[in-house]
Amino acid sequence: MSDRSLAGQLGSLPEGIEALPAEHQQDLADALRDARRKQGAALAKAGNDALQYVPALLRPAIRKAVGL
Amino acid sequence: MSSADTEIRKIARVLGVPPERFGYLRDVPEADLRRLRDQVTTTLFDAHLDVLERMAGASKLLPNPLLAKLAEKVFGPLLAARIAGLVDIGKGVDIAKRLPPAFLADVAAELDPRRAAGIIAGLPEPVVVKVADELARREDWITIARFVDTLPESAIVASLDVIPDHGLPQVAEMLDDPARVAYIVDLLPGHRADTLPDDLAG
Repeated sequence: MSDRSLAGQLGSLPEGIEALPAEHQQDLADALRDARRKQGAALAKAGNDALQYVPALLRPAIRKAVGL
Repeated sequence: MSSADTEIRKIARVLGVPPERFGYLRDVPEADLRRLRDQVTTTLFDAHLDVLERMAGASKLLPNPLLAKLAEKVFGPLLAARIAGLVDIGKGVDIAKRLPPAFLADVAAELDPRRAAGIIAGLPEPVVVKVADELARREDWITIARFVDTLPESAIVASLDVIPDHGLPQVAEMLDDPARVAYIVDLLPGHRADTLPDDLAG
């Protein structure tokens, strides 16, 4: 995501959040970006690791379905 | 605990950070914090949605025992919670029944119950009670409260049996909808309802 601001990630902000000082908004934005990044990394790792458990015969079909 | 503190704890839970980090949110109106939490939850659950949907689609090709093993050994609670709302309800229920309560409790803590309402409602009561028991042992009142909105009444009644008296006010405090407090009180035997402070019991 190119826009790392809170509004860039969430869209329009609730009034009380929009009124926060810039550093607090940025802290919320950083926490959200970190959570998304962690989720993305876990997903990428899981996609590859899962294939080791899948019977070899089914792997091509699973790769195709997941888009790996 | 103030209602702002309760919301801050819920926001911190969704983001996976300690609530102390967001102390600066204490003066923000509760309604704005609630909206922020909804926005953050939606953003996180919709992030990588295309990949998650493809994974859920691929799950149709695999047997449920293998999917249960993958959920526990590979995906972990966070991703299992993200995918749960995307898989076929019958398949999701069958997979959940194969998983240990401790893992299901981990998933429950990461889940948005609104997105997996079908699976949650389809879980057999003994499974729900075991998960509730594990969550109560961890004193994870936030997660228990989030599920009160989604579980069938019979499962809530059975789960209340494993929540200790000292946990009831905590669960009541964490409920999003104040009307649900009265609902819970009605489900409790009289001597247990008396353990709730008057301002919560209504």
